[in-house]
Amino acid sequence: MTLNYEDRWAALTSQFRPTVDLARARDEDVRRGQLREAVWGDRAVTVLVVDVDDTRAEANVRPASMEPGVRDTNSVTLDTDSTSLHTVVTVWPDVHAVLSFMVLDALIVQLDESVAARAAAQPHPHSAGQPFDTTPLPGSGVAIAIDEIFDDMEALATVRPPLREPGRESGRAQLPLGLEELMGVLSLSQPEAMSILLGTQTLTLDQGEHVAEAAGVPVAEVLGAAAPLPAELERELLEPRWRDVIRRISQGNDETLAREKLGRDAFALAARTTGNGRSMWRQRIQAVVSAEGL
Amino acid sequence: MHIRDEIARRGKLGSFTLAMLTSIFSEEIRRFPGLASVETSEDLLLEFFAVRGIALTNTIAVAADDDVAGRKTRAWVRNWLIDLVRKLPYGALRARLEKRLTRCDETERSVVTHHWRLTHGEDIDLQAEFDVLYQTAIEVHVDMRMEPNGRIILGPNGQLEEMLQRVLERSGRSHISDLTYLCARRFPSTLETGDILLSGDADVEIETIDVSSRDAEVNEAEQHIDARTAQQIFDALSVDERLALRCADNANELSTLLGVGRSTAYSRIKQAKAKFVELAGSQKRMRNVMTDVLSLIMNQSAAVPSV
Repeated sequence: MTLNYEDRWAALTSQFRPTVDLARARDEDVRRGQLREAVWGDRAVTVLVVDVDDTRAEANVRPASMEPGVRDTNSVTLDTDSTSLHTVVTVWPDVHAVLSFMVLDALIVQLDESVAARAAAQPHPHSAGQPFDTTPLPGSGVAIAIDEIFDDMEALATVRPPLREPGRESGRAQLPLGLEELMGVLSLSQPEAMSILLGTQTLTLDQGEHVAEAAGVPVAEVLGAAAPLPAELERELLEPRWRDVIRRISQGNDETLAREKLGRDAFALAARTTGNGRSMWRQRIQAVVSAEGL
Repeated sequence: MHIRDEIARRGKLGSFTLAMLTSIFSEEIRRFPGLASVETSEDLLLEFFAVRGIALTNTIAVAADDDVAGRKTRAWVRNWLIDLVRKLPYGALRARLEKRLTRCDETERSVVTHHWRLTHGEDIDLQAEFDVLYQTAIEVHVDMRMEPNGRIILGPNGQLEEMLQRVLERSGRSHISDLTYLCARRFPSTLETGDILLSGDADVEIETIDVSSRDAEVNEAEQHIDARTAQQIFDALSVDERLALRCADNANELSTLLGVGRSTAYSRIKQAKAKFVELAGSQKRMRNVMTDVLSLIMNQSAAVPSV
């Protein structure tokens, strides 16, 4: 690289500083009118949140793009003055999907209500100009970009958290090891091992891995057989605010297992504190994150 | 998480992002040897960033990690390079277009290299926006006919030339690459069939009538012509294209009918619309003809073609 090249790069980056609020990007609840990133595996798409089902932790979304020039006759374009991003944003209001919170990621911007409503409204099919203009040429970069946006969103819409086994809200754990074996593998006292089998104390991920290795079964099977986490804790773990932490725990591997680990660590903390409810679980998860430096 | 950390620390993109972009560009530009011979990878990178600016910066800043930032950036780079190379001279399309411009008495070369102008107009650049020129091109009727071997014939004599003259009236002088790109946009099907700019074919009879009078006989004649033109356009559309136009507002329905993914269905709808526009031609009777064609499509039973 020539020195001139790096100088030119530096000059351009000084002109184009981020306009997203990076401080808020990962700590906000999911709300209507938000432009968010959605990511899972090698799929990633920008979406406009049109509606939220907080109970089910799902968002009704429309695909969007910040890539300049990516638009067609079925899209709505918000100009640079419409948002605090000061860039063009394009939304496809007639392409719907429901995404689990577990695939949602950073908040890009919260749109004003009127702007969000405009973005989610159907574009007029017969405006003053030709009815079918601004159609991207087949095989063009714009056409490819739009196809990839829709493909990614379809794929992300299929991602869902593991189903909770019906009727297993609480109760005995159905582990592949008996009491004596459990005591030996996990170096526990009889009361401690009994608590795990009775479901009054949950298995941590580390313990689950030891049991899985001893029993010769997949760790997911052990965790699934163990007493499930409280519903409200599982629900809180789906919030986008924990994605970064979960990714760090997963180290590029299965996020579902990493989420389970974080949940079990938070649940272990609950044994020494009182109170339940979403806000309490949020505090406990934060305590685990702080304590372990995640 | 180097890129995000750097942005948080510096408040802007830095050397980690530059390294990522440099790596991506040096890999992607190999797909476009025509570009690589014109500009360096570094120059292209800076040009790309200059036009993508804040949008790309925000996209990278909110990316989950370096991998996601890299994937998104690569997709943007590739899409940009694809569209950039498509604006370069199209080879055969450009060559044929220049032949038509050379043969036309109303157009001639500008004093500026690779530019064309009206013979009796001023040799200046009027800074017209592409959308304005495209609208001008759309308003000129240019007949199209597809031969059995798939070649598309633009004719008869003078129609394409008239379109180019109207465009040059609005643009002043214009680079041949821009005129080529405009023609490709005006007639997108030609990109798939290659060399098409032939003149002199008058197999398609076009009757013109004086539309200034609005008496009943003229209206009836216009309707008769519209109906015949609509049938010709209907016949020129494939079964798949008619189905795509039938389901123009519902990609899900087309996806189900054709047994393809929704994004594929969406693409087919867009392609069918583009072909429909270019077949319909002049705006003068365009809406009437298009309405007639759509009626023919809707009245046809929605038999599912074999895929």
